[in-house]
Amino acid sequence: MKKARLLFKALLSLWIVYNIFTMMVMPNIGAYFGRTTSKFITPYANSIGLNASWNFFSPDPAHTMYIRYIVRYLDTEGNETKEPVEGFFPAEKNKGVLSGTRKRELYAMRFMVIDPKRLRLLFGPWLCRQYPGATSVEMEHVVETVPSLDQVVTLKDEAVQDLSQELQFTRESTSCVGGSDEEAL
Amino acid sequence: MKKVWQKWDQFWFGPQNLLGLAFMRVLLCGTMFYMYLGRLSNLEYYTDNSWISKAMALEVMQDLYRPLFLWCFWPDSWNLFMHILLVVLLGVLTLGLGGRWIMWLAWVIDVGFIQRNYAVNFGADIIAALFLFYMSFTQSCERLSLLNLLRKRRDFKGADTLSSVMIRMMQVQICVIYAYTGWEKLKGGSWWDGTALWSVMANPQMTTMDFSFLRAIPWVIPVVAYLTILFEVYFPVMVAWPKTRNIWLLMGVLFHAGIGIFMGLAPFATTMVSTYFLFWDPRVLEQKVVSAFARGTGPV
Repeated sequence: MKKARLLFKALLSLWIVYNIFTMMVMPNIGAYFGRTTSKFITPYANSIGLNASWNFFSPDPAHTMYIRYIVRYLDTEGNETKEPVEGFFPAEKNKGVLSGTRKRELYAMRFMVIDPKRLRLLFGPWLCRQYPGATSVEMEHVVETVPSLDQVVTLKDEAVQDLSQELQFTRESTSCVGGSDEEAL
Repeated sequence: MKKVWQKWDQFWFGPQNLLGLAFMRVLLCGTMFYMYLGRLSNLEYYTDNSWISKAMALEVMQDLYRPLFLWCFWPDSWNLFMHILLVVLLGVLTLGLGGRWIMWLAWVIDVGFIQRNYAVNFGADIIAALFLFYMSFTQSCERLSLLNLLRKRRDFKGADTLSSVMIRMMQVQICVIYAYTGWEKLKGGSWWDGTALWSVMANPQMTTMDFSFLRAIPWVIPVVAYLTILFEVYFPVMVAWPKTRNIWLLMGVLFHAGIGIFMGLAPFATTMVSTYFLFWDPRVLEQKVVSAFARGTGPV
């Protein structure tokens, strides 16, 4: 009984060392230890949820952002059959999403704009489904900068929003007609 | 060598009081119950009509972060049933009814939903699931259980080896999370500059009210930003040292209360704070909280 207990503790000790090593290395997986040990730790870490980088609001907090899209309706000759529709995702644009049930859309938007392929292969086809009859959708990642603290303190009489700049980043389009895109993510 | 083993044995396998763990269970499972009750109206996010089809659920994750398999073993058509089951299990666990297997089942379903659409996860989803995993190996329902109240139970088991190990592991885990959040901030120029917090508070997508009045008292921004970094980076050391533990935990409660109220991230705040019960002296919890409650209702 005592031997079995000791064996149990020895096995648990091995797991303790392995788990702590994994939790220390995974958030910095691109570093030396991560590169050299990834094949031993990632299958485990990715299965139990240790595959997170714990970088909340860092290295620098994000600016206000959203996706602007235009849905187009064209005939086979390229003539407009219907007025294009402009929209934003999340629909609140540069305001916060207050609805608790739709707050996850803000997170979905941030996920999509990280990689242009995600806009083209995930978000675009979804938009096509939201607008039946559309022939294509154009999407762009818009960032409204938060003016610096020094700027808002110096220019006290200006509204914070007036000091903000609108910048366009990734621009992608997806065709809503024809076969699905075979491009991998 | 023998001394080292004794210290290791004492630290990891020494008996732990299960009361702190039970408080953590109530707050963590209660938070998840609330979060996922609300998510019942978002179940279309977890179907092929959403952004990510089931076939692409793994593909959308970066190579190094991609699991070998999906925990969501059920078809999307079962989502409503599985999600209701998850909410019921979390409700049951909040009340202290259940045990390791029920919590493990809750964890599998929870991770299944997290992996099914990785794009819509909150930080609270990820952290809560991780702690639910560790907790599923413990006797978390031994204390603060509705059954104890009904049966008027007065004697409680001590922690077994596995529970003791997992309590320690959760303490280590939360320290690692805080330390990394602090270290990651140190990579950012605006955190060094002291103005990062302004970018958060002036961003209407991140706050629940207008904070532009802070431009009239700008010195508050760097003070709170530097305090945030100090709190996070030094959390492991300060909670390990008994003399600074309570003040650091109190700072953490205030810090997360601010995040919860002013940034609308209450589930994240309560998830993080739930782990603090693992650091608080169980005798204090026993005397100040449980005894006071028991005088009115009976033992819990």
